[in-house]
Amino acid sequence: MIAWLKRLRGMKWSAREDTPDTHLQKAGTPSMGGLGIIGAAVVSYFGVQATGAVVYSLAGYGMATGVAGILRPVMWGVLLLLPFCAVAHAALGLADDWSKATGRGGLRARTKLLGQIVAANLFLIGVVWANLMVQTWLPSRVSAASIPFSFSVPLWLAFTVALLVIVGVSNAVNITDGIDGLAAGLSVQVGLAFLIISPKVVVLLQWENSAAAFWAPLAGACAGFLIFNKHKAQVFMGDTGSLALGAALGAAAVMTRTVFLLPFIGFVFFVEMFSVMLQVAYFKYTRKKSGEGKRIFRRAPLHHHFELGGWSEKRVVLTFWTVNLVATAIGLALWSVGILPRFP
Amino acid sequence: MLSDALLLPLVHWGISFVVAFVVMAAMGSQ
Repeated sequence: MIAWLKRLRGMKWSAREDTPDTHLQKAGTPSMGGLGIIGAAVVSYFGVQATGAVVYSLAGYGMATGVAGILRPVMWGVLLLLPFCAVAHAALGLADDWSKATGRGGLRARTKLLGQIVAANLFLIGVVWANLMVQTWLPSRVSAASIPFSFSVPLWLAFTVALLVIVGVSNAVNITDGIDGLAAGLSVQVGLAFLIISPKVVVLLQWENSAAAFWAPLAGACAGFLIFNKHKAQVFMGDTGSLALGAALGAAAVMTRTVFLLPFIGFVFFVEMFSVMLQVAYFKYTRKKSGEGKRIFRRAPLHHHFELGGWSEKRVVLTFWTVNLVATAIGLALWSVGILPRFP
Repeated sequence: MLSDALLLPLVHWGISFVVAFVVMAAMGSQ
């Protein structure tokens, strides 16, 4: 894939703008590696789901997991919505990466945001629709507590918050992806966290384990990607990967009603996003007040602040991974004792 | 011993993790 990306005609893989000078040597490294991550994850997800359905049917597990179950349209929402959300964002990211690599400067920020909002809305409408289908056709098969949008706030409010979560997290991962191996390594952690919290049953209709079912292959693909993306990276995931992984993270949190757990398992993503917001806000504020814009960090997002402080890329990435691991452990502990409410 | 209810998802998700890892690794080295 790397050789193929390098051979693509008319593509110029230049280093990212607004990065420390050490990043200039990254010029020539192809992006769009997210195609591989999402491709591998989707192939594995559908392959294993289909094979599993046949095996479960033969083993007598029946409707809930078998072929008969997978063929019922009422089940499709739970099966397809998460991969759909990831693929839609990957397509948007691909358009952006392609535009950058062909020298057209990438999609306009407004266009990209609009694309994210449309994709996230389609996903959320799908979730609400699938809920209605399941509750109408198979009310006895699901427990109300596991269904998204059964939190005691009005639907429009929960929907809006969920939309903000998906768009926000996909941008947060996009911002975090700017240093070798960081976003991919954190995504492996996220996948494992979803596996830990999900109910350990393979039942197609279970919203709660739909995240684990898709995040298992996604984490596997990210781990495989790390072979090539670790320092010094031979390929980057690009927006194709980061937007898709971020959207899959936000969407999985909505499907499993674990939005309050998100700031823990995606701790570094949130910190990186807030570092950019703080930097911009402080710069604008000080410029307005004293005529000269001041900065809090040497450069935002935060990983560049440490790099400019003399840390190696490897050290930054290992530190951020460790911090996220600790935050994830705290989050999972809080989750298991039931302090964090289920939302939406 | 692991019960069916626990073993089944671990095998299912474990296989999908490994398959995705292998597919990605194979694609990357092409």
